[in-house]
Amino acid sequence: MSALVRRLGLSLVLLAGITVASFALLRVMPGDFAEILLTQQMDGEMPTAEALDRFKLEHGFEDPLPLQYLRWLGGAATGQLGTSFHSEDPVIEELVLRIPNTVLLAVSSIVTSLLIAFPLGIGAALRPGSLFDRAAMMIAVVGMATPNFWLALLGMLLFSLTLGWLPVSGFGTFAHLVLPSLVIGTSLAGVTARLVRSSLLEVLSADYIRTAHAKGLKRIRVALGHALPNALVPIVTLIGLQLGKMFDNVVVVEAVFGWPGIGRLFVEAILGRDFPVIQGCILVIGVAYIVINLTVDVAIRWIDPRVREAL
Amino acid sequence: MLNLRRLIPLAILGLAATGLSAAPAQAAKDDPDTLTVATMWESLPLSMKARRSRFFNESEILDTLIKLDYDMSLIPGLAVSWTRTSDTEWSFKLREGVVFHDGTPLTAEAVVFSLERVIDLLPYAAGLLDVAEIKAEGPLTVKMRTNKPFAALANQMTDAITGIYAASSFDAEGKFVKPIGTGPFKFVSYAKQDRTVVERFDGYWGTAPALKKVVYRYIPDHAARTLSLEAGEIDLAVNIPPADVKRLSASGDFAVYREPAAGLYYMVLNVGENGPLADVRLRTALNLLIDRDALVTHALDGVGAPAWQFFSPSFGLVPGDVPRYALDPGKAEALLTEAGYAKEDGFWAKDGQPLSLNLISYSTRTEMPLITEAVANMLAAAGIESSVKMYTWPGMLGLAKKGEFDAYTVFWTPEMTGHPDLHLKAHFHSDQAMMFNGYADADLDSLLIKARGLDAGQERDAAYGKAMEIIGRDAPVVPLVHKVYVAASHSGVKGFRVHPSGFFYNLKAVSK
Amino acid sequence: MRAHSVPDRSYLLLGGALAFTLAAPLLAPNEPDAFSLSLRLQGLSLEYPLGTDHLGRCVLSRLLYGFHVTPVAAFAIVAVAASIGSVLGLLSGYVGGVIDQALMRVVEGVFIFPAVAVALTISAVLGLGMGAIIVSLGAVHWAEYARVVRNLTVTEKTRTYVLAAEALGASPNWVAFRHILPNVMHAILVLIPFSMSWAILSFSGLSYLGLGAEPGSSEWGLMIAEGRVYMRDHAVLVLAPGLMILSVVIFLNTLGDRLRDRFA
Repeated sequence: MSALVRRLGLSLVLLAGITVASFALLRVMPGDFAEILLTQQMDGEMPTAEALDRFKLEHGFEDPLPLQYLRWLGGAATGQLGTSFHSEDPVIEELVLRIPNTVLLAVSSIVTSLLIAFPLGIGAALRPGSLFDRAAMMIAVVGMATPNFWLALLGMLLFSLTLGWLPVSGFGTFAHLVLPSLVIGTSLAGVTARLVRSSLLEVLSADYIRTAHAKGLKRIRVALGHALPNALVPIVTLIGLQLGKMFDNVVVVEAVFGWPGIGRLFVEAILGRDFPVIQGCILVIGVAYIVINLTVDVAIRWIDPRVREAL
Repeated sequence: MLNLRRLIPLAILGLAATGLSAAPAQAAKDDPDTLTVATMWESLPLSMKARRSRFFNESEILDTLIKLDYDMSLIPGLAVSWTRTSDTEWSFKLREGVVFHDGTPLTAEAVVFSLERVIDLLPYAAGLLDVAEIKAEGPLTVKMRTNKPFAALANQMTDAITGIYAASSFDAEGKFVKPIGTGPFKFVSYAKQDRTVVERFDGYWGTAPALKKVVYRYIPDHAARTLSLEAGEIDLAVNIPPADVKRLSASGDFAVYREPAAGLYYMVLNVGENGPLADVRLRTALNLLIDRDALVTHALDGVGAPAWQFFSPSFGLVPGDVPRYALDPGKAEALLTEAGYAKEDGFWAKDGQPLSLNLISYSTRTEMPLITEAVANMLAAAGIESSVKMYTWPGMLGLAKKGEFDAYTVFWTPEMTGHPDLHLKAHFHSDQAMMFNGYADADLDSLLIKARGLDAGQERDAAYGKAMEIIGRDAPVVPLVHKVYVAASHSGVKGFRVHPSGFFYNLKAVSK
Repeated sequence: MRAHSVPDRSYLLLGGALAFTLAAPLLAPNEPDAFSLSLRLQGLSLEYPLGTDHLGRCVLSRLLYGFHVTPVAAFAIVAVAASIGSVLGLLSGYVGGVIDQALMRVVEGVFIFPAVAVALTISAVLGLGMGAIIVSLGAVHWAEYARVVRNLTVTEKTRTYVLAAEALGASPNWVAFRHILPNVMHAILVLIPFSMSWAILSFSGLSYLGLGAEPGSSEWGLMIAEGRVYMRDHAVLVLAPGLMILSVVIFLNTLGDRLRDRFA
């Protein structure tokens, strides 16, 4: 149990760090935040020095930083993250609109990567050294080395423009989801396939598998029924890691396909210097990452009886 | 022990449950009643903001009192006639029998209510119209009085920001809810970052639209807009990248619309004291160094007209004999030398400091990166270094406001309402100075104020001629290219025409 | 020590690659920045073997000069990461105790964080540009090095040569850097090719989004972004730089695999 408690504690510390970092962002950003806010409220007119001083006093900009941080934290906890410089809508609204889209893309990408990686990895492990094995591992190597944004463009050219099977970009139907998921899925599948193969090979050579063999079970049933579940721990760990780092993929692919998710919002906010939105995105990404990693931890303990007993 | 065979179907089920409809991707083209338009800006029908990007959509929902024809001349809208009764007074006669989408009749009272609401909610509108009083006189006459003599009021009344809203567009506290107007289409729905849908209004006062429904899809990515058109997902796309024009034109499946428009690509120069461009000789030199013809033919694939002066000669808004720049590298070198610069290793430098310009722009408009990069390359070829950075429009504007630039390239529509006042006053008058480049000239200020009070005629032409001379002499900007507006549709779409303002699509005339 | 005993084909491969990278610009048929708007978007020809881009610049020359942009930026990122990581790892492993505990918790946190997100955040504060991205990507990638170096240091420091040096009165700094570091170097070397791959993919991705290399640079990701508008008619503008990234990354990954097989 203590391991889990330690993880929880670490997560809390991380969460605190992320909130401090996002709070600090608006204080270290170029320009006076109070002045920008006031200018925005006055519809673009530059405020006078006195008006600015009054505004700062009224809105607590002169208070000590820790106090400002706590006040901001209280606001953030209740969804008050300010308004976007650009759209002038509440930041929370911008985030809530995009979070489900990014989650959808992330989950679908992971599923796609598994659908690619498992057949390749299992097939390769069943006949190590065969042509299939070498071909599958070659696919994995290329998949890992292909830049996402480039693969996305090639996919667009082939599937949307030449074959006309899938929409070019945008969001809304299942068809829109296919290309972005394939692109991210392919790039993740390489590592997973290699791991599936090596974990299976390791387990297949273990004692009890040989016993199963002796009982005359077919090799493929041994692999699926006995070996795979035992190989699952490292694979689930990897998936967790991939989910945690998913944002790195999502940020590029969303931009290429015009997918209205957190990644595109984040990039647009940075190019548009929309600091309240940047801040909101960091919070979302940070919290998501903590939640994902805790979940993965729990999942691994649940899957692996050895770890479970240790809890 | 966990069984994998149970895990995969679960994951797929979960995915399916996220609510994606499996609708086919390419429905747009085949539905004769619905037109799907892809736009570069998001239409914002539910926000009351002084943002021009929303107008292409709202100008189909709302009507203005006066409208701009395709040649930028004024034609009747909700007002059938208007007169300037004195220096500061105007009278508008309204069209009879017009009803709003909510069934209420259009009356002078309704017009007064709407304009007052808009002026109240939008400081920009207040500045644009500069009215002291609006009042109804009888059921169908509206009187307006401006604060100062203002000859351009009729033109300003074509600005989509003055569209007439029904009272039911606002709630009890006067807050804006949704647009209810008198236009050919009624507002149906809006999905942020995605689309706006409007439907035909059967009680429209003019010729009824052929289309039942229009869907405005927001596709900010330039390449994706054309690709979506080619893939049959949309019917009409605006702001086609120049590179795609040739291909679409060559294919028999698409109609490409290209017309000279009132927009101008130009480079704003920071005349502030700390930068190198505080020296007018350098600013003039830049104007003499940049080959506008090459910009158009090469950077823009011929889509545009070289801009050697601020206003496009196509619309005749200022007298024709205003000064024009010309390509003259020799004179530019002389000016640079006179300003104390000398060429070292092929690059201009002064006191050992190389002349290097911090050039910024934004990639959210199709052609900006092409133009900016071409300009930077031309300057480099002439021995002037520059560092180029690309932002989004608001990102660049933020830096511009803080004066953190030597030059920025920008696109603006100077003649949006068919009168030179709107742009000149907002950009070159020291009161508003929307270019944020520190430019101010007292003579220019008074000329602009004088000219805006004058009706068309010799006196006005003389004032604007003089103003253009001052701008040409002080060179606070480098005009680059007069816009040619491009849109494209598949060949089944009929009746679309590019409006030179770039803000009106006039889809009521379109069928497919 | 195994680290010193394997002068094999991997090193030859690496040497060849380094030489090629250094010499690549010499092979360029044209000036990479020489532009001529009237020669834009030309097809393949003897003078321009891969045609010209939207500003009339030689695509092949830009690709070759790109060897001094993308891989060099990636190398800078890795250098930042490896030096921060190695020093902290050495410190953590050698000193041990509370410092080790604390540092390893930080490493645990940083290791699994989406690095590009952090890099973007840092560059949002520092402003756009290549320098900001290099520093930020480097600053988020160090954890991997810290972890590996730390674990090896913990085992190395109980070895006789370290104990002997300490007994002879060598200062902790001396022991850590002159005795332990050379012996954990092989582990750092194995990590570098994979880090380089990661850095190339991340950096070119960010450049593609307009957040990395500045306009005008012959960075491969940026070249793809610029070519994208012309992709339908001039596919080579997108294909060529993409294949470049792909092959360099495959090369690095293969090299990494080989090094790992040798040392593991």
